[in-house]
Amino acid sequence: MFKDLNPILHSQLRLAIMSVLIAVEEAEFTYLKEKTSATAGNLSVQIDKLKQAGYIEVNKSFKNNYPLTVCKITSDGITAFEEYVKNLKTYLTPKK
Amino acid sequence: MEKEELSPEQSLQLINQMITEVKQEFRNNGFYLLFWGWLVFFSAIVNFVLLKMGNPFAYYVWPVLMPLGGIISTIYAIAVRRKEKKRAKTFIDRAMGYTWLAFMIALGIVLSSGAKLGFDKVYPFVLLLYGIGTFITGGIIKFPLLVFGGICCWVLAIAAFYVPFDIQLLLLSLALIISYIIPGHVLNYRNRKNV
Repeated sequence: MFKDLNPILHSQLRLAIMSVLIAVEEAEFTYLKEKTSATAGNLSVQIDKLKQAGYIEVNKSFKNNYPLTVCKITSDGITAFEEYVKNLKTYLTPKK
Repeated sequence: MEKEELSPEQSLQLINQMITEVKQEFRNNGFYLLFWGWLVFFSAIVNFVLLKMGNPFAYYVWPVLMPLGGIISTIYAIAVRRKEKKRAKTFIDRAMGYTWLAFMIALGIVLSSGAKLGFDKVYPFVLLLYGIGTFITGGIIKFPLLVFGGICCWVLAIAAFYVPFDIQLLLLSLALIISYIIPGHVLNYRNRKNV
């Protein structure tokens, strides 16, 4: 009855990142860092994993000589997130 | 943190918490509403007074003050951008950007076609455009007072088609109080209360 939860999303920090990116169109690295209160190192690792899964798009550029990383959710990411939330619900309202 | 096992309840709670936090961030401040509201209000009143005093250059208040307002707005926008190191873009940002860009383009067309349109019809059209801008903005940011302000602009636009030029200026001032200045102050007040 219980659906397996997508392991890529079922992790605290990655889920937090995805939740922020679902709510905004795009977010800078520093913005994600503030919202998730994660360390920069951990955050980049998780962003990389999400990127490799094809759930987010990462754009690196420069702004006033500082590196600027902008993340954006992809349509695959939205589908995966929706699926994840749907599966979560099966845990919360178990069918008898 | 990575290794911790998440329960489904914790997952949902986390999603909720993140989305709420993002939502709170994007409260609109009333700067542009107030700035343009007061500036255009002031210009309309000065124009009206000069006109009544028989000054033939009364309308000069527009080509002087409006570009000045544009410059100040731009400087403000750049300053805000600089100050905000952490940024995210939302759908609301994009929707507002396009709405007001469309407004400015349409306003430019109406103003530059003033001679062809007839100068007695310029302000009614400007009021129509104000109405569109505030109505849509109110809908996007879920602020009914602005939606109401937009409707008021349209009612005043209808009235403006039937009255002489000098009275149109007063209708314009009234529209600015209802649809820009009052909502702008209310927005600011709310933001201050919530912070």
